[in-house]
Amino acid sequence: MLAFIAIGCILNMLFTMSFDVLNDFHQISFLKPMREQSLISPYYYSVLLLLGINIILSTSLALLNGFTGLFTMGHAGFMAIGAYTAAYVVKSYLPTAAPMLQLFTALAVGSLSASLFGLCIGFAGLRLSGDYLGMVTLGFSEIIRVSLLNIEAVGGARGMTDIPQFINLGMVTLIALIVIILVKRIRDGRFGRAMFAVKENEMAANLIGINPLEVKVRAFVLSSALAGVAGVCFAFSEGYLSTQTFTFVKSFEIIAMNVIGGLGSLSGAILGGAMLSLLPEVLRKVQDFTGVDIRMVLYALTMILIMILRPKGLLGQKEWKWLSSPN
Amino acid sequence: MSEFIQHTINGLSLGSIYALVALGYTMVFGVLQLINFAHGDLFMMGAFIGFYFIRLIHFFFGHDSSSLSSPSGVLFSMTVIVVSMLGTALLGMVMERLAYRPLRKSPRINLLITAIGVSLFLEYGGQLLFGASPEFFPTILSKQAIALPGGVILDSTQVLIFSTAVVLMLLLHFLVFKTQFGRSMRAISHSLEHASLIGINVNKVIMITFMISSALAGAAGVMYSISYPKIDPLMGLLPGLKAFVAAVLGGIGNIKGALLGATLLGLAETYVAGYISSSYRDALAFLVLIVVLLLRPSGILGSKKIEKV
Repeated sequence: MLAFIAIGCILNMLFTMSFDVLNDFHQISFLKPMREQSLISPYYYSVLLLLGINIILSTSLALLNGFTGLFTMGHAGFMAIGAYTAAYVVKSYLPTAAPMLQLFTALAVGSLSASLFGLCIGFAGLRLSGDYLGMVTLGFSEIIRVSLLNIEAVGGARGMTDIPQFINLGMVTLIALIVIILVKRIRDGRFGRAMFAVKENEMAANLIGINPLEVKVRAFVLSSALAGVAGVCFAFSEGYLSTQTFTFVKSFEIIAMNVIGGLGSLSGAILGGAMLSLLPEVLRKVQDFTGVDIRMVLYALTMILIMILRPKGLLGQKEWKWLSSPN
Repeated sequence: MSEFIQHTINGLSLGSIYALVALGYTMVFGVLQLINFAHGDLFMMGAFIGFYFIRLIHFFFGHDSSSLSSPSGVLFSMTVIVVSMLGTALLGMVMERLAYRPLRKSPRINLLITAIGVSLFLEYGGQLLFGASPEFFPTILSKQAIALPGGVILDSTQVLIFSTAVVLMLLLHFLVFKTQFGRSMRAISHSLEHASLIGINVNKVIMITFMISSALAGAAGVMYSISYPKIDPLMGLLPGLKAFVAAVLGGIGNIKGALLGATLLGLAETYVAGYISSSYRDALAFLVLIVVLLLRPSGILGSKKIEKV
């Protein structure tokens, strides 16, 4: 508990520090995308931004898929809820507030709304296991997407435009680090042990006094809240939201990050997230060489080959030293 | 009332296409416990193989539009469907041999990720090969309206689709429940290990199962493009997913369940599009799925597994 408060204080300091810089940015030009003012080229800026967001997503899914053994295929839905709710609230209620207030409102609203949906799905999915749970989560996320597509208040099929872009690369990096540390601490704590126990054998976990249902619902709530945070990062850095981003293809991509890195390993989730975000960009070089758009074909082939050659993922169950568990 | 019958006819026609795809999902799941996400892309490949076959025929024998409505039009459509089935069966065989067989002993989630990889490979490969912009599937059977009493209109393409689907399903039923191959396939779906112990050539049966399920998807792809003639490399995504939902609805691994689920889904979709609003049409499949799974966690006809300590 004390450690959490300490981390919170340090992060608060970091937040305010980065905000001084951010306020300067806003005085220069409010609506101009920050990627044009950064030191690195806009292309690398976008790639790194996506990398950070994907790492948050992959880490949050590790809580469910990797640690608790709950197979879900609807993570993009949680992300969409976080992104859309936060963007809507900030755009319609706080359009002229200070960026600091906007950021904290966005993060709070985004994670809360997403975790609310996570709670519902967690309860609804309690009776189901395995592939059926995966199907229900996939169904929920597609329903969320089609509903968002039909709600005119959030732009409908046109998408949501003119979202203030106050989250920059530094902020995403910071949030990603916080999420990683948070997930590591959850994993190493009492609740983390309970999650692994439920994953290994639900009935045995129940016998040693763990309530598997409670653990599952809590894992759902936590994971969806973090996915909501990733959605917030995406919405307020891109400035534009479209339901096309949040299809089931995105959910599959997040699962693939987990499995390719090594299911059940936090380092694996990070590595997988980084790899699947960078691979298409690395393959762009190959495309210059071959001349045809073979990039995504090679991306798919790499995915298949990793699964055949390294069935446990790149890292397996191993962790990097700074993320390894003390117990 | 006549409107209701009209929607029912349209729904059954759509449902029979879903059923063919759902049967493939359910058969592969039965033998390998694999959700073959590339199945929707085999559906797309079927449509494209049909498309290029028609182009080839038109190139060599000329384009004679007068034959569209005659029996030769029906015969030609059948030929296109059979050619597509052969093509996708071959593709399914290659897919199983290269991507899935090396993973026979690894955890199921790996198979799933591989399936996603294969699906992406077919989609992007398709974009590379066929171009990303939609193509127009040529009319091979003119739409002749058959007026039934009460103002109900029966489309000639619907008749073709529905009857072909029924014939294919009957063939499948015969194959699965009346032949030696079907017996070994059902044995494998009970237990792969035990089936191999009693001398069933597991690899061969799994490969043939893949070929049959891919062929069904290919046939469904051609039939779908006859009624919705815009085809592109990503066309298999949504119908594939919906057919999968249909398979889960009925209880995945269960052949009758897939039929039931697909028919229900096709009907529900057309009723909702007809009476309520077509904008929520794509969400409906999932709503039905969630409601059914919450009431019956293993599908309508699925068998319950009791967990023992």
